[in-house]
Amino acid sequence: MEDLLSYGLLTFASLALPALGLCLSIKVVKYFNLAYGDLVTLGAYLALLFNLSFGLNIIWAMMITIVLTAIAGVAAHKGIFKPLMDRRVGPLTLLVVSLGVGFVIRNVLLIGWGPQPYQYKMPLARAIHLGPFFFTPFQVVMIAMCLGVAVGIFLMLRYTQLGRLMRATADNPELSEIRGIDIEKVYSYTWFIACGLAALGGVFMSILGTITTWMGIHGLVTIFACLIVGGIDNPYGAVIGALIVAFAMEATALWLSPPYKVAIAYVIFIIVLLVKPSGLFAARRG
Amino acid sequence: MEYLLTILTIVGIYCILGLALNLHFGYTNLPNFGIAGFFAIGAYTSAILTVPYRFLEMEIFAGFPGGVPGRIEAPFIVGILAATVLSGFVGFLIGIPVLRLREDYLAVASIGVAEAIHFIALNELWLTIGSAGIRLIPMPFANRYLFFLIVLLVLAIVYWVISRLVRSPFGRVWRATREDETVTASLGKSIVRSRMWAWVIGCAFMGSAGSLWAHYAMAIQPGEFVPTTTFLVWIFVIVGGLRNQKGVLIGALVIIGLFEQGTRFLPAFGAPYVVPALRLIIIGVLLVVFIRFRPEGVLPERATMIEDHMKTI
Repeated sequence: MEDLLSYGLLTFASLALPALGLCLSIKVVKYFNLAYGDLVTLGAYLALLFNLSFGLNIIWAMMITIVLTAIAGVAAHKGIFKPLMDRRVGPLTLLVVSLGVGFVIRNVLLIGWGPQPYQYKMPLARAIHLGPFFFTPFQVVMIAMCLGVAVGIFLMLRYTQLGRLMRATADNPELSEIRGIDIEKVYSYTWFIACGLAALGGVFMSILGTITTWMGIHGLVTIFACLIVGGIDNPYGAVIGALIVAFAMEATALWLSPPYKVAIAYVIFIIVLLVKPSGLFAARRG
Repeated sequence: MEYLLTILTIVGIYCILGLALNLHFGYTNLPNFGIAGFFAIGAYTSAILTVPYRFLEMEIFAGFPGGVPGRIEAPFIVGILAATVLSGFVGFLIGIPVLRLREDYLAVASIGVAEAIHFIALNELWLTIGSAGIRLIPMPFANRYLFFLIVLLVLAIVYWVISRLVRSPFGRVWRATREDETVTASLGKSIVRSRMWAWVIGCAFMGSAGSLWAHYAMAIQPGEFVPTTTFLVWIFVIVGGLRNQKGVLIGALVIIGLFEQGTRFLPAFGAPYVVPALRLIIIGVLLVVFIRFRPEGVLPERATMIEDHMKTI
C-alpha cells in the first residue's frame, strides 16, 4: 500500500504538469498540438545537454531548460501555426502540421543523441522515511515543485490580469478581440506557460525513467488520457485526472502485470468515453 | 530489376494504406492516427494462421513454451481474408467509443489504440512470440513476380471499391457529413452509422495491407508497427492530394518510393541512424511546407459534375 502511494505520487508529479499545460493550450489557443509530446522530449534532452555535457546541477539545468523550451514553443507557434491560423484553416489542419513539427523535433534529437537511452547525472542520496513513504530528497523536491507550480497556475488563472485575459480569450476569442484584448499576445503567453510545463514534465519523467526520443509520443497518449478523464477543458480536472491515471497505472504495475502499466491508461480513457464522454469533471458553462 | 520490384511491391502495400486513410480522412473526416495498429492486426492474423509448424518447433527447441502460431497452417487466401475481417471487426469495436469524439481528440485516441495493439503484440507471448516476432511466414507461390501481381490485384480491388462507394448515395452522405454535420443530420441521414461504415471498411483494408506485408517480408516483429509507419502514410496522403485517389498513388510513389526506399544506395555518413532520421526530417518539413503553400496536395479533389450524376441516372 505504501509502495502504491509513493510510486503513485511520483508518477502523478510527472504527469500533472504536462497535462495542465496541454489543457491550457487546448482551452485557450483551441487547437491540438501533436508536437506537445515532442516538446516534452525536447525538455528532457535539453536538460540532459546542460546536465551531462555542461556539467550543471540538475536543478539549474532544469531551470534553463524550462525557459529554452518555452521559447522554442512560442517560436514554433509564431513561425508556423500563426500564419496558418491567420488564414482561418481548421483545427484539424493545424493538427496535421503539428505532426510534421513533432517529426522534425524527434528526428533532430535522434541525430543529436542517437537511439540509446540516457539518464541524468544526479548526486547519490540516501532515501529518507517521511511517515509511511520512502523518498530520495530529490523526489520530495519533485512532488513539492509539482504541487507548488500547479497551485501557482491556478492562482494565476484566477487572480492575475494575465489569468483573466486567458480565461476571457478561452471563453470567446472574437468578443475578447473586440474588447481590445491583444489575443495574439495571450496566445503567446499561453504557449510559453504550456511549453514550460511540458519541459518540467519531461525532466520529471526522465528522472523516474530513462530519456529516449520516443518518451514524448508515448507520454502524450498518457497525458491525453488524464485530460479525457478530467474533462478536456477543465484545468482542475486535468490535475485530478492525472492523479487517477497515475494511481491506476501504479496499481496495475504492482498487482496485475508491469508491462501493461501504460496500457491501463488507454483502458481507463476508453471506459470514461463510454460512460461519460464529457469527462468526470467537465467545465461548467457559465 | 529485382530491386525495382521490391520498391514497387512496398509502394503497392503502402498505396492500400493510403487509400484507406483517404477514405477515413479525405472523404469522411475521420483522422485515423492508428494505422499502424490495424496494419499490425492484419499482419499478425495472417502470420499466425499461415506460419508452418516448423517455425513453432524451432521456437520450442529454443525454449519457447509453445503457443498458437504454427498450429493452423492455413493457406494464404484464408490468412488475408481473416486479416481483413478481423481488422474490420476490431475497428468496429474501437469505433464504438472513439467515433463519438471530436475530430482532433479522435486523432489522439487512435494513437492510443495503436499503441495498445503494439503492447499486446509485445507482451502476449502465447499469441505473438513477443519481441522476436514471427519468421518463416510463407510467400504465396514463393515467387516475387507473382506476389507483386497479387499486391496489384488487391490494390485494384481496394481502389475500385472505394471509388464506387464514394460515388454511391452512401458516399455522398459521407462527403455531406464532412462538409456539414448538422445539415446532413437534418436531412434524416444517420451520421453515426455512415461514419461507422467508412471507419470499418477503411480498417479492414488496412488489415489486408498488413497481411500482404507479412507475406511479403516473411518475418514480422512488433517494432515495425510503431507510429512512424502511421506518420509516413499521413504525409504521402497529404502531399499527394487528399480526397483524390490518383493523388494518393502518386504521393506513395514519390514519398515511399524515392525517399524511403530509393535512397538506400546514397552514401551513408555518420552513425547508422543519421540518414534515416534526416530522411524523416525532410519529410516532416515537406509536410509543413505543403500545408502552408498547397494544402490541397499535388492533385486536388475533383469537383463532382452535375453531368456525372446525370450519366449515372
